[in-house]
Amino acid sequence: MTADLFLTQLEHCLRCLTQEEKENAMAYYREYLAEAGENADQAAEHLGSPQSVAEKILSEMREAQEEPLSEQKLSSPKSSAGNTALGILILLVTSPFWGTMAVLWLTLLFCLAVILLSLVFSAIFAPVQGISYLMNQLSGEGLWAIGSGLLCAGLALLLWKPMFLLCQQSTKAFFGFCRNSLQTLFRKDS
Amino acid sequence: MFPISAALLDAMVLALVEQAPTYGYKITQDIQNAVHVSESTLYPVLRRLQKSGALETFDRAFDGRNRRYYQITDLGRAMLVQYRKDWTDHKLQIDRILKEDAEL
Repeated sequence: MTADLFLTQLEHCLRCLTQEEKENAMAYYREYLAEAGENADQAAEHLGSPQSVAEKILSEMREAQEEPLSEQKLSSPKSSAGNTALGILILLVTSPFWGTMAVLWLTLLFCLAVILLSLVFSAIFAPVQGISYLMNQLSGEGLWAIGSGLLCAGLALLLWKPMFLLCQQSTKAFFGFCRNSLQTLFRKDS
Repeated sequence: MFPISAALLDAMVLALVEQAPTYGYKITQDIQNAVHVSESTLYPVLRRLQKSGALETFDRAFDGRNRRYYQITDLGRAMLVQYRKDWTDHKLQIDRILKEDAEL
């Protein structure tokens, strides 16, 4: 990076400082590079990126708990309130989209729960019913009921794990989607 | 190899400036000849010392442009006396452990 480009970029990075602080820092680095004479470009290279040079100045100010920001930056709470209002508006406007996502997710959870619960209940009560059929000499119905009960038990044993994973993944996906959207909307505030 | 703390950097800059008023580029070169710190570390140090009243500046024309000199104040001298004492104590403590015929 040439010395001139370094100074231009540094000035841009320091734009949040007060005029006086910025001018002090710029004067220092202008002088510094001028002192390097014909090696000015090399000296600029050694200083590192203008961003990191500016960050050192800013973090020093933060440590000393000074108020480094100029009025331009100080007015930013106002614009961040604007951002929040805008964010809420966007949230409302896009509600058909994320609302549908939420309904889909809840429906999926509900269906999976119902399926699993009915399998478990059938696995328990169908054989009980079957045994009572057998006792009443209804051997056909009894065997059928016991068989279907065992079938449900088998299905429940096979399916509970994939279903559990499906719930977990869909929940993760849904909340991940919400978090990402919110972060995108409110990034400037955080 | 051994990290240079902010306090140590303050002390070194004060000691350099105490010898004679000097300017940013020269201070950076002298510090860099002794320890490894990045070139961009010195401005915040000089600014901090100036804000706290340990250093003050004056400008001299040089080669058709301005050169800002830093010189030490009475407060800076007092700080340097304390830094030198603290450093001597610190060095003794480390040496007590490091030296080969250590008697702890």
